[in-house]
Amino acid sequence: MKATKFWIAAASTVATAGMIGAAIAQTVTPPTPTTDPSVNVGGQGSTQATIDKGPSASTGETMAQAQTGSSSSDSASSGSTAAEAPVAQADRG
Amino acid sequence: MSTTFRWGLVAIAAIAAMALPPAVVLIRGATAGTAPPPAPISADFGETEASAQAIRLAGWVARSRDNAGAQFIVIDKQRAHIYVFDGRARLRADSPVLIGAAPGDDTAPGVGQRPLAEVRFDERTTPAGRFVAETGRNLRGEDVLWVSYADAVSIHPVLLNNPDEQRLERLATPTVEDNRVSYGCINVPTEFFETSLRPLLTVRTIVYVLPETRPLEQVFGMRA
Repeated sequence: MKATKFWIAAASTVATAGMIGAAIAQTVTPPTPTTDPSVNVGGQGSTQATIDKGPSASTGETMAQAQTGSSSSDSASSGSTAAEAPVAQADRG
Repeated sequence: MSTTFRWGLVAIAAIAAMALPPAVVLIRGATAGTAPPPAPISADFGETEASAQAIRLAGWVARSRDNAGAQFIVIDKQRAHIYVFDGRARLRADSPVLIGAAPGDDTAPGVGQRPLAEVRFDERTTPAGRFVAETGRNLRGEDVLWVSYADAVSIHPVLLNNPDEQRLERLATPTVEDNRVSYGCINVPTEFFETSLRPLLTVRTIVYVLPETRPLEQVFGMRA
């Protein structure tokens, strides 16, 4: 009987220690960044994901409607190095 | 006694299995993870004057970390000005610019693939929006920062092949109305390009072109 009480007390102690540890750790866990640095998306809380090109005037799209989600350009250029355009082309002066 | 001992071990093992793993994971996250520095509450323009719209947009980028730590550029079309920021939203350089001759925030479909001679005046716009810049070359052999490769809009040194346009003179004047002259590209002084933009050609850069016909919220999805 004494042994049973001993083990119950021991088990309770371990459980309590685990929960206290978890609570302490939670208070010092670093905050989650608002954006994942590896994925270029819009700022947190945006109703509209950011876009990487202007809208089409002919379709009458507004920029908010033009695209949603991370763009292919964003995905392709994730990281710290610049994305490279495929080939030289004429620009608009 | 031995039965009690075994049951005791089983009970402790079961409770430890439930209680300890979350604690270990959280502790590992707290100690091994690298806490990012706090986001600045506003962009640092230093002593440089800027429009309320530019200050607001750059501040939003800083707070929301929309640039994800990348250097970024703000083009203020209404002031015909470019602002270059580091990844912590500190202004590193600024300059007058030349922009598209026509007011507007859209790009006409297919305009990037047409010869300049076939681009109508009202299509000579510099589109507003958020762009992940690409590096590359134009057909004049210049290194450029593509704002929108698909729309053929780039940032490049001021174009001087047509003296009648007086682009250098337009850059030099304090007025902004005469800075609207291009077919959509953003022209910067050559020295500014070499000293402040060429270093960006190797690193990820986000370009924010401020709108002139729409609110910022609509273009960038800003809330704060």
